[in-house]
Amino acid sequence: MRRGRLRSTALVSPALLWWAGLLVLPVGLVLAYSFFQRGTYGGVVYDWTFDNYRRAFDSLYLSVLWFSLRVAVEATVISLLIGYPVALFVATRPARWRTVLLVLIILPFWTSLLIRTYAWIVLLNDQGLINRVLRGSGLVDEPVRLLYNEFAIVIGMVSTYLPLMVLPIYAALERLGPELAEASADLGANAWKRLWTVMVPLTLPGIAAGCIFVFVPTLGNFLIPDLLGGGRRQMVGNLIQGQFLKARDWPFGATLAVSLIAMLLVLVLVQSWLARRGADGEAAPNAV
Amino acid sequence: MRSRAGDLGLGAVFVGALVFLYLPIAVLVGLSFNESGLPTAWGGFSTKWYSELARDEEIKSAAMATLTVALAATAVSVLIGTPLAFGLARLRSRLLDGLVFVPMIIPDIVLAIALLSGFNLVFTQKLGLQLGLWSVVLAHATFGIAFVAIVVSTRLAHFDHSTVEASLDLGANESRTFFHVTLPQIAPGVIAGALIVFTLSVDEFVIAYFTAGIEITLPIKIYSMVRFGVTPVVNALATVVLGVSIALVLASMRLRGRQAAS
Amino acid sequence: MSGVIEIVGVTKRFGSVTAVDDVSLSIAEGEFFGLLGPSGCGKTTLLRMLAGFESPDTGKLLLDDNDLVGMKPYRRPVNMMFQSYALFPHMNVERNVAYGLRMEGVPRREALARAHEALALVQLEGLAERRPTQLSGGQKQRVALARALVKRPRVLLLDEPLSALDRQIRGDMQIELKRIQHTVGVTFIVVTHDQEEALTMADRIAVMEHGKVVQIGAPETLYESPGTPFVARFLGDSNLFTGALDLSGGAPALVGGDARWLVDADAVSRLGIAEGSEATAVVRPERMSIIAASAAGGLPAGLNAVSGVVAETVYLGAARKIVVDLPDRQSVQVRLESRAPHSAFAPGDAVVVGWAPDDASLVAGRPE
Repeated sequence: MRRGRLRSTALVSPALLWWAGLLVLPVGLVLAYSFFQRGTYGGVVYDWTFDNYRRAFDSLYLSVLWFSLRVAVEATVISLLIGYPVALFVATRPARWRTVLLVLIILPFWTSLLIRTYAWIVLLNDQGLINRVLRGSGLVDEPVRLLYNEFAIVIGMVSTYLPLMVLPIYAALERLGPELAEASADLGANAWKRLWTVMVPLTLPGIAAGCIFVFVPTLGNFLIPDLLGGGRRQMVGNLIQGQFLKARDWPFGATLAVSLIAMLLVLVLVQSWLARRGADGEAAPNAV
Repeated sequence: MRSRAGDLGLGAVFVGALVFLYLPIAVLVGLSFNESGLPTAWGGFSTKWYSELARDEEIKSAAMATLTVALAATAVSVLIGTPLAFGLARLRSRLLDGLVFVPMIIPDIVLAIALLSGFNLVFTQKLGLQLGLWSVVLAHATFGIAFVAIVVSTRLAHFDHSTVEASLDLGANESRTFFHVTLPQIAPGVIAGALIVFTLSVDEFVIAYFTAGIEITLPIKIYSMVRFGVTPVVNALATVVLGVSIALVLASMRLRGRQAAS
Repeated sequence: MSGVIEIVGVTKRFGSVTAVDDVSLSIAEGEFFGLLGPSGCGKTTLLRMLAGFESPDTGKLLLDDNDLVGMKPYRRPVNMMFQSYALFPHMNVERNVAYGLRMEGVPRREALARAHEALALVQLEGLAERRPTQLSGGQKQRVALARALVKRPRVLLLDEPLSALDRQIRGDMQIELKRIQHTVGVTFIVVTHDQEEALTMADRIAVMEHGKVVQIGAPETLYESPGTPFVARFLGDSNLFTGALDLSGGAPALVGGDARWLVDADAVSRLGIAEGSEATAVVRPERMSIIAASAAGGLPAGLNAVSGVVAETVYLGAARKIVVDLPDRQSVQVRLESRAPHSAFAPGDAVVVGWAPDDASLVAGRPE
């Protein structure tokens, strides 16, 4: 079907050309910039150098990197601890409720990140609702520093990306289907414990996907640490923004971006390697 | 009989999660109707911040800019993403299918600086063009195409290609077949995808921030209000934007629901 | 003799696979023609080439002496009924049926009137306003049929029309299709892998295997006188007895192992094979005789007889099928009317089965 092939190529070409020009080339440009130098007035001087990468390993930037990783891990772990029970709850409700419950969880995710993050500023600041409750009930005398620190950033991340953790875990739980219903219909208090030791391994792919879905946007996030970190606590995303828009050192900003991409790639590769090993491990018993 | 304690525990976590997700929004909405506009004191119910919002010219022009960008980006995404979905369905290449997800998962800051670098090099330096709303449209369409393609692809998976052959067999040529048989069947998917891209574009901040040049979209305006000069008007604005987003998302879901039923 | 459809030397290759291999057929006006064969034999490809969805690599497809090759599907006076029915889900039944007419430019009112006529023909008048999702499988099939027939094509192509239906409906629909075809007088070409379907509906059948037409004929001819072991096995149940042709005795026989099967001399001379070459005698289950081993007298003289043990009996309602294991691991099927005397055999019974030489048809070669 030579005609068919031609037609298919024509159909995908506009998109592929668009992405070649507006995705691949720009990202390639960033990669190239990371090897060049900043000009005196902020432009790019095309002298090949590894200086940028050497700078990136400077303790100042490494500490920012370290902080970013820490925040990403914290956000992922907390999302998992909250997200798994949430997914389990929805999956064990009668079928007609599940869509509604799921929509409730997903809906905030589709609204503006900016606005939701701002809402946390309102909630967490010294005059905000939480502090007012704490002071009003006499638990504390002074307002508690809830904003412009690591705590606020992690809270912001979790509340933003929690739905992304819930969805794949829910999908994995749903696929268990009858076994889940059967096990949860079991008698006794030990049912949940049994459920736990059986369920978690079976839903591991969903857990892995959820962790990736939270970790990736968290690590490279710019907006949440920008608003909730108040400029004091910086993550990689803020550094990159700073280099591009304030310090006007595009080559160095590019270097940081490349480092970020590299970290994420490694992560994704590790995860898919683990996923394949998990699948092989499961196949073994059936081979008997 | 489930373990009641376990079930209650799960329910508690679920409710807690809902509170966690919606409390900030609720507080924001409540604040937008607060006479005093400050989180410290409740001054009584008032819509004055909304009236002030309606009078703010800067906000209105930013909103117009955002609307323009969103419509343009959606149009481009649909025009390029829909054929892409068809091509993918025919080619059935796992490589290409995976490639479509890349624009979606790339961190927005990386995409933002990459596009800024590219636009700057090609348009500003070589062609002397200033960045503006048009460059935001290009940027938003870059991930918009992927979203449309994925949503339409899901729809196409259930598409019975033999209806196309039946139409040809019954006397309709290729273009008439497309309009009478193919398009009506995929329309709900295309519209759902368009709604998603529209919503994402309206709310999108990071990429617009880098690629808009001196132009201001609504998210950029909101950002500067939050960062540099908080007046209670921003609460009213935030509430309005939230309301619109939620309405769009629900509409998109109803469309997908209806297509699933047919 | 030139029929309404002439398929001349058509070949179609997909990569390294030859789907249709130098096929030539002639189909007469008003005929109900069947293309029968296992999946992958090329019958569907041939049908699709007639419809215009595939193009032959070589050969001609003549309709009323016009070559259809290169003609787009929408220009051919040929319509198809698809296996999946392919009803347009966003249109109701009457709009579905009227679609082809509207595409021709027929005014709306006339198109709908003719659509209703077509629906009456397939006995679905009341369902004009329904949507395809609200129809049962059988109803969808009738709509698809009406939609194809309303355009009064020269030829109607049917791709496995009954495969998606329940058993009970299938039988009724087979008769329905024949009735409709007679009423309308259009030439029908049906593709099917179900031999019972082909035998019931078709006036003539072409049996295909590996892209080639193996035998063409009326159902009765194919059933009683299969041309090859493949056709014998594909159409109906059959018992096969293979051996090398031996003319040394008074009567011709097939010799294999310990067995010596007498065969009909006329059949041998018609087959035209040399002594010593392999041939297979094909005996239908209803032509086999069976008696208990202990029965007095044994089988009538002149029959090929062999002892065996009943393996199982299958009650088919109107008949009984008895599977008998013979020595050297062959098993045969015997079909007896349920009313027949002495039809009660049980697994484990020792029996003698036999067949008359002229109840067998002879084919050259051995079954694959």
